[in-house]
Amino acid sequence: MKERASCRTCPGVEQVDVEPRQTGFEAVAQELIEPLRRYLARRTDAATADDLLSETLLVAWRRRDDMPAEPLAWAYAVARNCLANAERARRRQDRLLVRIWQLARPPEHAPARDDPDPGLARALARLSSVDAELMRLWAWEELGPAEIAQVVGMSANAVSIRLHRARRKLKSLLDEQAEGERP
Amino acid sequence: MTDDDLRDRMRRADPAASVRPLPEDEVRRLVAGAALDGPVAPRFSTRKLPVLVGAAAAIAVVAGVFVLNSGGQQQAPRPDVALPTSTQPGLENGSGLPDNSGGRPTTSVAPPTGTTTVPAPPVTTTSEGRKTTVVVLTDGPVDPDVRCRKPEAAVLRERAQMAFEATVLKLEGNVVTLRVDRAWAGEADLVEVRNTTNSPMLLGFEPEVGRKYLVAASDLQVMGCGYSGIDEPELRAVYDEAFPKR
Repeated sequence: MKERASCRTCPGVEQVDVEPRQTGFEAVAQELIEPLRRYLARRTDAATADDLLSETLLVAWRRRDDMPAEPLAWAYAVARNCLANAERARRRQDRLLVRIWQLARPPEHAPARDDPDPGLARALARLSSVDAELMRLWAWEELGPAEIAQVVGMSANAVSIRLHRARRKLKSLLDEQAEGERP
Repeated sequence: MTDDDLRDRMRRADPAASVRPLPEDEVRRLVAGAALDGPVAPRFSTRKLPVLVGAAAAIAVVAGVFVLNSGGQQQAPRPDVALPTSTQPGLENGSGLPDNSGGRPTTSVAPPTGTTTVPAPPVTTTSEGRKTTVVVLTDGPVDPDVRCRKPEAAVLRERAQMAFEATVLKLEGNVVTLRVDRAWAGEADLVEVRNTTNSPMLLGFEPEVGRKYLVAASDLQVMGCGYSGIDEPELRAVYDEAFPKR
Protein backbone atom coordinates (compact mmCIF):
# COMPACT_ATOMS: atom_id res chain seq x y z
CA MET A 1 0.00 0.00 0.00
CA LYS A 2 1.31 3.41 -0.85
CA GLU A 3 0.35 6.77 0.36
CA ARG A 4 0.85 9.66 -1.89
CA ALA A 5 1.42 13.14 -0.59
CA SER A 6 1.40 16.21 -2.69
CA CYS A 7 3.84 18.96 -2.05
CA ARG A 8 2.58 22.05 -3.70
CA THR A 9 4.89 24.38 -1.91
CA CYS A 10 8.15 22.55 -2.46
CA PRO A 11 10.14 23.58 -5.48
CA GLY A 12 11.29 20.51 -7.28
CA VAL A 13 9.04 18.14 -5.44
CA GLU A 14 5.72 17.11 -6.85
CA GLN A 15 4.89 13.91 -5.10
CA VAL A 16 6.27 11.60 -2.54
CA ASP A 17 5.46 7.95 -2.29
CA VAL A 18 5.68 6.51 1.15
CA GLU A 19 5.70 2.74 1.39
CA PRO A 20 5.06 0.93 4.64
CA ARG A 21 8.37 -0.87 4.08
CA GLN A 22 7.08 -4.24 5.16
CA THR A 23 9.45 -6.09 2.92
CA GLY A 24 10.73 -9.61 2.86
CA PHE A 25 13.88 -8.62 4.68
CA GLU A 26 11.98 -6.84 7.40
CA ALA A 27 9.79 -9.83 8.09
CA VAL A 28 12.83 -12.09 8.37
CA ALA A 29 14.78 -9.57 10.43
CA GLN A 30 11.95 -9.24 12.93
CA GLU A 31 12.11 -12.98 13.49
CA LEU A 32 15.88 -12.83 13.95
CA ILE A 33 15.96 -10.05 16.51
CA GLU A 34 15.18 -12.06 19.64
CA PRO A 35 17.60 -14.94 18.88
CA LEU A 36 20.28 -12.37 18.06
CA ARG A 37 19.63 -10.45 21.27
CA ARG A 38 20.03 -13.60 23.29
CA TYR A 39 23.14 -14.61 21.33
CA LEU A 40 24.76 -11.25 22.06
CA ALA A 41 23.57 -11.11 25.68
CA ARG A 42 25.37 -14.39 26.28
CA ARG A 43 28.66 -13.05 24.99
CA THR A 44 29.01 -9.40 25.89
CA ASP A 45 27.73 -6.69 28.20
CA ALA A 46 24.27 -5.21 27.76
CA ALA A 47 25.36 -1.90 26.24
CA THR A 48 27.65 -3.54 23.71
CA ALA A 49 24.95 -6.09 22.90
CA ASP A 50 22.54 -3.28 22.05
CA ASP A 51 25.07 -1.63 19.77
CA LEU A 52 25.98 -4.88 18.10
CA LEU A 53 22.38 -5.82 17.49
CA SER A 54 21.91 -2.72 15.36
CA GLU A 55 25.19 -3.34 13.63
CA THR A 56 24.32 -6.98 12.95
CA LEU A 57 21.01 -5.98 11.42
CA LEU A 58 22.74 -3.41 9.30
CA VAL A 59 25.30 -5.90 8.00
CA ALA A 60 22.53 -8.43 7.42
CA TRP A 61 20.67 -5.86 5.39
CA ARG A 62 23.73 -5.05 3.33
CA ARG A 63 24.34 -8.74 2.70
CA ARG A 64 20.71 -9.68 2.31
CA ASP A 65 21.37 -11.17 -1.12
CA ASP A 66 23.51 -13.80 0.59
CA MET A 67 20.90 -14.62 3.19
CA PRO A 68 19.88 -18.27 2.96
CA ALA A 69 16.35 -19.55 3.26
CA GLU A 70 17.12 -20.67 6.80
CA PRO A 71 18.84 -17.53 8.00
CA LEU A 72 19.40 -18.12 11.70
CA ALA A 73 22.87 -19.66 11.63
CA TRP A 74 23.89 -17.18 8.95
CA ALA A 75 22.68 -14.32 11.17
CA TYR A 76 24.62 -15.72 14.12
CA ALA A 77 27.72 -15.76 11.93
CA VAL A 78 27.14 -12.10 11.10
CA ALA A 79 26.72 -11.28 14.78
CA ARG A 80 29.84 -13.26 15.60
CA ASN A 81 31.86 -11.18 13.17
CA CYS A 82 30.44 -7.96 14.57
CA LEU A 83 31.31 -9.15 18.05
CA ALA A 84 34.86 -10.01 16.97
CA ASN A 85 35.24 -6.57 15.37
CA ALA A 86 34.00 -4.90 18.54
CA GLU A 87 36.41 -6.92 20.63
CA ARG A 88 39.29 -5.94 18.35
CA ALA A 89 38.32 -2.29 18.58
CA ARG A 90 38.08 -2.55 22.33
CA ARG A 91 41.51 -4.16 22.52
CA ARG A 92 42.95 -1.33 20.46
CA GLN A 93 41.32 1.21 22.75
CA ASP A 94 42.57 -0.57 25.81
CA ARG A 95 46.12 -0.95 24.56
CA LEU A 96 47.42 1.72 26.89
CA LEU A 97 45.74 0.10 29.81
CA VAL A 98 47.05 -3.37 29.22
CA ARG A 99 49.73 -3.20 31.86
CA ILE A 100 47.35 -2.04 34.54
CA TRP A 101 44.79 -4.61 33.54
CA GLN A 102 47.37 -7.39 33.67
CA LEU A 103 48.42 -6.39 37.14
CA ALA A 104 44.86 -6.15 38.31
CA ARG A 105 43.69 -9.34 36.66
CA PRO A 106 42.80 -12.06 39.08
CA PRO A 107 44.93 -15.17 38.71
CA GLU A 108 41.98 -17.36 37.83
CA HIS A 109 38.74 -16.87 36.02
CA ALA A 110 36.41 -15.07 38.37
CA PRO A 111 32.77 -15.72 37.54
CA ALA A 112 30.41 -12.81 37.74
CA ARG A 113 28.92 -12.32 41.15
CA ASP A 114 25.45 -13.16 39.91
CA ASP A 115 26.57 -16.15 37.86
CA PRO A 116 24.02 -18.88 38.56
CA ASP A 117 26.60 -21.65 38.12
CA PRO A 118 30.14 -20.47 38.92
CA GLY A 119 31.50 -23.99 38.62
CA LEU A 120 30.25 -24.30 35.07
CA ALA A 121 31.66 -20.87 34.23
CA ARG A 122 35.06 -21.90 35.58
CA ALA A 123 34.97 -25.14 33.62
CA LEU A 124 33.97 -23.39 30.39
CA ALA A 125 36.81 -20.93 30.90
CA ARG A 126 39.24 -23.82 30.92
CA LEU A 127 38.18 -24.98 27.47
CA SER A 128 39.80 -23.44 24.42
CA SER A 129 37.85 -20.44 23.14
CA VAL A 130 36.71 -22.39 20.08
CA ASP A 131 35.55 -25.37 22.12
CA ALA A 132 33.75 -23.14 24.60
CA GLU A 133 31.97 -21.40 21.75
CA LEU A 134 30.95 -24.74 20.25
CA MET A 135 29.48 -25.70 23.60
CA ARG A 136 27.56 -22.45 23.86
CA LEU A 137 26.18 -22.76 20.36
CA TRP A 138 25.15 -26.34 21.09
CA ALA A 139 23.56 -25.76 24.49
CA TRP A 140 22.34 -22.18 24.38
CA GLU A 141 21.59 -21.57 20.73
CA GLU A 142 20.55 -25.20 20.39
CA LEU A 143 22.20 -25.62 17.02
CA GLY A 144 23.17 -28.88 15.36
CA PRO A 145 26.65 -29.53 13.99
CA ALA A 146 25.78 -28.35 10.47
CA GLU A 147 24.42 -25.04 11.77
CA ILE A 148 27.31 -24.59 14.17
CA ALA A 149 29.66 -25.19 11.25
CA GLN A 150 27.97 -22.35 9.40
CA VAL A 151 28.42 -20.00 12.35
CA VAL A 152 32.06 -20.73 13.08
CA GLY A 153 33.23 -21.42 9.52
CA MET A 154 34.29 -25.03 10.01
CA SER A 155 33.13 -28.22 8.31
CA ALA A 156 30.22 -30.02 9.92
CA ASN A 157 32.41 -33.06 10.36
CA ALA A 158 35.08 -31.10 12.18
CA VAL A 159 32.44 -29.52 14.39
CA SER A 160 31.00 -32.94 15.28
CA ILE A 161 34.41 -34.23 16.31
CA ARG A 162 35.38 -31.12 18.29
CA LEU A 163 31.99 -30.88 19.90
CA HIS A 164 32.22 -34.47 21.06
CA ARG A 165 35.64 -33.83 22.57
CA ALA A 166 34.56 -30.54 24.11
CA ARG A 167 31.58 -32.15 25.80
CA ARG A 168 33.80 -34.91 27.15
CA LYS A 169 36.34 -32.39 28.42
CA LEU A 170 33.69 -30.21 30.03
CA LYS A 171 32.09 -33.17 31.77
CA SER A 172 35.49 -34.25 32.99
CA LEU A 173 36.21 -30.80 34.40
CA LEU A 174 32.85 -30.68 36.12
CA ASP A 175 33.44 -34.14 37.55
CA GLU A 176 36.82 -33.00 38.87
CA GLN A 177 35.14 -30.06 40.56
CA ALA A 178 32.53 -32.31 42.09
CA GLU A 179 35.26 -34.66 43.36
CA GLY A 180 37.15 -31.76 44.88
CA GLU A 181 34.07 -30.47 46.65
CA ARG A 182 33.30 -33.79 48.32
CA PRO A 183 34.22 -33.87 52.00
CA MET B 1 26.74 -37.20 33.29
CA THR B 2 24.98 -37.59 29.96
CA ASP B 3 24.99 -35.08 27.13
CA ASP B 4 21.44 -34.15 28.05
CA ASP B 5 22.46 -33.55 31.66
CA LEU B 6 25.27 -31.33 30.52
CA ARG B 7 23.02 -29.39 28.21
CA ASP B 8 20.43 -28.95 30.93
CA ARG B 9 23.04 -27.63 33.32
CA MET B 10 24.25 -25.16 30.72
CA ARG B 11 20.71 -24.04 29.98
CA ARG B 12 20.08 -23.35 33.63
CA ALA B 13 23.10 -21.04 33.57
CA ASP B 14 22.04 -19.31 30.36
CA PRO B 15 22.95 -15.61 30.75
CA ALA B 16 20.18 -14.72 28.32
CA ALA B 17 17.49 -16.30 30.48
CA SER B 18 16.58 -12.90 31.85
CA VAL B 19 16.41 -11.25 28.43
CA ARG B 20 12.82 -10.22 27.86
CA PRO B 21 11.38 -9.77 24.37
CA LEU B 22 11.49 -6.25 23.03
CA PRO B 23 8.24 -4.36 22.57
CA GLU B 24 6.91 -4.58 19.05
CA ASP B 25 7.53 -0.90 18.41
CA GLU B 26 11.16 -1.27 19.32
CA VAL B 27 11.54 -4.28 17.04
CA ARG B 28 10.04 -2.30 14.18
CA ARG B 29 12.31 0.64 14.91
CA LEU B 30 15.38 -1.56 14.91
CA VAL B 31 14.48 -3.24 11.67
CA ALA B 32 13.57 0.05 10.07
CA GLY B 33 17.03 1.27 10.91
CA ALA B 34 18.56 -1.46 8.82
CA ALA B 35 15.98 -2.54 6.34
CA LEU B 36 15.20 0.20 3.96
CA ASP B 37 14.94 -1.90 0.86
CA GLY B 38 11.63 -0.34 -0.01
CA PRO B 39 13.20 3.02 -0.72
CA VAL B 40 11.10 5.92 0.36
CA ALA B 41 12.50 8.31 -2.12
CA PRO B 42 10.93 11.44 -3.46
CA ARG B 43 10.09 11.55 -7.07
CA PHE B 44 11.62 14.80 -8.07
CA SER B 45 10.07 16.84 -10.77
CA THR B 46 11.90 16.89 -14.03
CA ARG B 47 11.39 20.59 -14.21
CA LYS B 48 14.41 22.55 -13.22
CA LEU B 49 14.77 24.10 -9.83
CA PRO B 50 14.99 27.81 -9.77
CA VAL B 51 18.40 29.22 -10.32
CA LEU B 52 19.04 32.69 -9.11
CA VAL B 53 22.21 33.66 -10.76
CA GLY B 54 24.18 32.55 -13.74
CA ALA B 55 23.76 29.78 -16.21
CA ALA B 56 27.30 28.50 -16.27
CA ALA B 57 27.32 27.23 -12.73
CA ALA B 58 24.40 24.87 -12.54
CA ILE B 59 22.70 23.67 -9.43
CA ALA B 60 25.15 21.47 -7.68
CA VAL B 61 23.20 19.82 -5.00
CA VAL B 62 19.66 18.75 -4.62
CA ALA B 63 19.24 17.06 -1.34
CA GLY B 64 16.06 15.29 -0.43
CA VAL B 65 15.91 14.33 3.16
CA PHE B 66 13.44 12.17 4.89
CA VAL B 67 13.20 11.96 8.56
CA LEU B 68 11.14 9.11 9.86
CA ASN B 69 9.95 9.90 13.29
CA SER B 70 9.05 7.24 15.72
CA GLY B 71 5.60 5.82 15.50
CA GLY B 72 2.78 7.57 17.18
CA GLN B 73 4.27 11.00 16.96
CA GLN B 74 1.87 12.87 14.82
CA GLN B 75 3.40 16.30 14.71
CA ALA B 76 6.92 17.39 15.23
CA PRO B 77 7.52 20.60 17.08
CA ARG B 78 9.69 21.78 14.26
CA PRO B 79 11.12 20.47 11.04
CA ASP B 80 13.17 17.39 11.74
CA VAL B 81 15.67 17.47 9.01
CA ALA B 82 19.37 17.17 8.59
CA LEU B 83 20.82 17.79 5.23
CA PRO B 84 24.39 16.85 4.56
CA THR B 85 25.56 18.67 1.53
CA SER B 86 28.06 18.13 -1.15
CA THR B 87 31.22 20.10 -1.23
CA GLN B 88 34.60 20.20 -2.77
CA PRO B 89 37.67 18.62 -1.28
CA GLY B 90 39.63 21.02 0.82
CA LEU B 91 36.68 23.08 1.83
CA GLU B 92 35.09 22.72 5.17
CA ASN B 93 31.55 23.39 4.27
CA GLY B 94 28.72 22.62 2.01
CA SER B 95 25.90 25.09 1.92
CA GLY B 96 27.29 26.54 5.11
CA LEU B 97 26.02 29.32 7.19
CA PRO B 98 24.75 32.50 5.74
CA ASP B 99 27.34 35.21 5.54
CA ASN B 100 26.01 36.97 8.58
CA SER B 101 26.46 33.93 10.78
CA GLY B 102 29.20 33.08 13.15
CA GLY B 103 30.57 30.75 10.54
CA ARG B 104 30.91 33.48 8.02
CA PRO B 105 33.95 33.65 5.84
CA THR B 106 36.83 35.54 7.25
CA THR B 107 37.56 36.91 3.84
CA SER B 108 34.89 38.98 2.29
CA VAL B 109 33.64 37.17 -0.75
CA ALA B 110 30.60 37.74 -2.83
CA PRO B 111 28.21 34.83 -3.01
CA PRO B 112 29.47 32.37 -5.57
CA THR B 113 27.99 32.68 -8.95
CA GLY B 114 25.32 30.17 -9.58
CA THR B 115 24.49 29.59 -5.98
CA THR B 116 20.90 29.16 -5.15
CA THR B 117 19.46 28.06 -1.90
CA VAL B 118 15.83 27.15 -1.87
CA PRO B 119 14.82 25.75 1.46
CA ALA B 120 11.39 24.27 1.16
CA PRO B 121 8.98 23.75 3.97
CA PRO B 122 8.86 20.17 5.16
CA VAL B 123 6.25 17.87 3.79
CA THR B 124 4.69 15.65 6.33
CA THR B 125 2.86 12.50 5.50
CA THR B 126 1.80 9.74 7.76
CA SER B 127 2.03 6.11 6.85
CA GLU B 128 1.16 3.48 9.38
CA GLY B 129 2.01 5.75 12.25
CA ARG B 130 5.19 7.08 10.75
CA LYS B 131 5.72 10.59 9.66
CA THR B 132 7.88 11.43 6.74
CA THR B 133 9.28 14.86 6.35
CA VAL B 134 10.60 15.86 2.99
CA VAL B 135 12.67 18.88 2.30
CA VAL B 136 14.42 19.95 -0.83
CA LEU B 137 17.39 22.25 -0.76
CA THR B 138 19.48 23.44 -3.58
CA ASP B 139 22.96 24.66 -3.20
CA GLY B 140 25.54 25.98 -5.55
CA PRO B 141 29.22 25.37 -5.90
CA VAL B 142 31.39 26.47 -3.05
CA ASP B 143 33.78 29.25 -3.66
CA PRO B 144 37.30 27.99 -3.01
CA ASP B 145 38.29 31.38 -1.63
CA VAL B 146 35.83 31.12 1.21
CA ARG B 147 37.39 30.34 4.56
CA CYS B 148 35.40 29.70 7.67
CA ARG B 149 36.13 30.49 11.26
CA LYS B 150 36.57 27.69 13.68
CA PRO B 151 33.20 26.33 14.84
CA GLU B 152 31.96 27.92 18.03
CA ALA B 153 29.58 26.34 20.51
CA ALA B 154 27.69 29.59 20.99
CA VAL B 155 26.97 29.84 17.28
CA LEU B 156 25.91 26.21 17.11
CA ARG B 157 23.59 26.62 20.09
CA GLU B 158 22.06 29.76 18.68
CA ARG B 159 21.51 28.61 15.13
CA ALA B 160 21.06 24.86 15.06
CA GLN B 161 17.49 23.68 15.34
CA MET B 162 18.74 20.17 14.69
CA ALA B 163 21.95 18.55 15.80
CA PHE B 164 22.45 14.86 15.34
CA GLU B 165 25.02 12.18 15.68
CA ALA B 166 24.22 9.87 12.77
CA THR B 167 25.73 6.75 11.28
CA VAL B 168 25.75 6.04 7.57
CA LEU B 169 23.61 2.95 7.14
CA LYS B 170 23.82 2.51 3.41
CA LEU B 171 24.87 4.08 0.17
CA GLU B 172 22.69 3.37 -2.77
CA GLY B 173 23.39 5.34 -5.88
CA ASN B 174 23.10 8.95 -4.91
CA VAL B 175 21.11 8.23 -1.75
CA VAL B 176 22.86 8.16 1.57
CA THR B 177 20.89 6.88 4.53
CA LEU B 178 21.92 7.78 8.04
CA ARG B 179 20.59 6.48 11.31
CA VAL B 180 20.31 9.11 14.03
CA ASP B 181 22.11 7.73 17.05
CA ARG B 182 21.76 10.77 19.22
CA ALA B 183 19.86 13.98 18.93
CA TRP B 184 21.18 17.02 20.73
CA ALA B 185 18.46 19.11 19.17
CA GLY B 186 15.45 18.08 17.09
CA GLU B 187 14.12 14.57 16.72
CA ALA B 188 14.65 12.01 14.02
CA ASP B 189 15.29 8.34 13.60
CA LEU B 190 16.54 8.18 10.05
CA VAL B 191 17.86 10.61 7.52
CA GLU B 192 18.02 9.94 3.83
CA VAL B 193 19.99 12.25 1.62
CA ARG B 194 19.67 12.38 -2.12
CA ASN B 195 22.64 13.95 -3.77
CA THR B 196 22.29 14.73 -7.43
CA THR B 197 25.72 16.17 -7.90
CA ASN B 198 28.45 14.21 -9.54
CA SER B 199 30.55 14.57 -6.44
CA PRO B 200 30.71 11.59 -4.10
CA MET B 201 31.38 13.90 -1.18
CA LEU B 202 29.20 14.22 1.87
CA LEU B 203 30.02 16.93 4.35
CA GLY B 204 33.42 17.20 2.77
CA PHE B 205 34.21 13.48 2.96
CA GLU B 206 33.35 10.46 0.94
CA PRO B 207 30.64 8.72 2.97
CA GLU B 208 31.41 5.30 4.34
CA VAL B 209 28.90 2.83 5.66
CA GLY B 210 29.17 2.58 9.41
CA ARG B 211 30.90 5.92 9.80
CA LYS B 212 29.48 8.44 12.20
CA TYR B 213 28.82 12.05 11.34
CA LEU B 214 27.77 15.02 13.38
CA VAL B 215 25.17 16.98 11.50
CA ALA B 216 23.68 20.31 12.45
CA ALA B 217 20.92 22.01 10.50
CA SER B 218 19.70 25.55 10.58
CA ASP B 219 16.63 26.72 8.77
CA LEU B 220 16.47 23.47 6.86
CA GLN B 221 20.04 23.79 5.73
CA VAL B 222 23.03 21.90 6.87
CA MET B 223 25.41 24.06 8.79
CA GLY B 224 28.67 23.78 6.96
CA CYS B 225 31.84 25.67 7.72
CA GLY B 226 32.99 22.80 9.89
CA TYR B 227 29.81 22.63 11.98
CA SER B 228 28.87 19.33 10.36
CA GLY B 229 31.31 16.60 9.56
CA ILE B 230 32.83 13.33 10.59
CA ASP B 231 32.39 12.54 14.26
CA GLU B 232 35.69 13.62 15.74
CA PRO B 233 36.48 14.66 19.28
CA GLU B 234 37.05 18.32 18.45
CA LEU B 235 33.71 18.70 16.70
CA ARG B 236 31.92 16.61 19.32
CA ALA B 237 33.29 18.87 22.03
CA VAL B 238 31.66 21.82 20.28
CA TYR B 239 28.32 19.97 20.22
CA ASP B 240 28.63 18.94 23.87
CA GLU B 241 29.43 22.49 24.87
CA ALA B 242 26.59 23.88 22.80
CA PHE B 243 24.03 21.41 24.12
CA PRO B 244 24.98 20.49 27.67
CA LYS B 245 23.13 17.63 29.28
CA ARG B 246 20.15 18.71 31.27
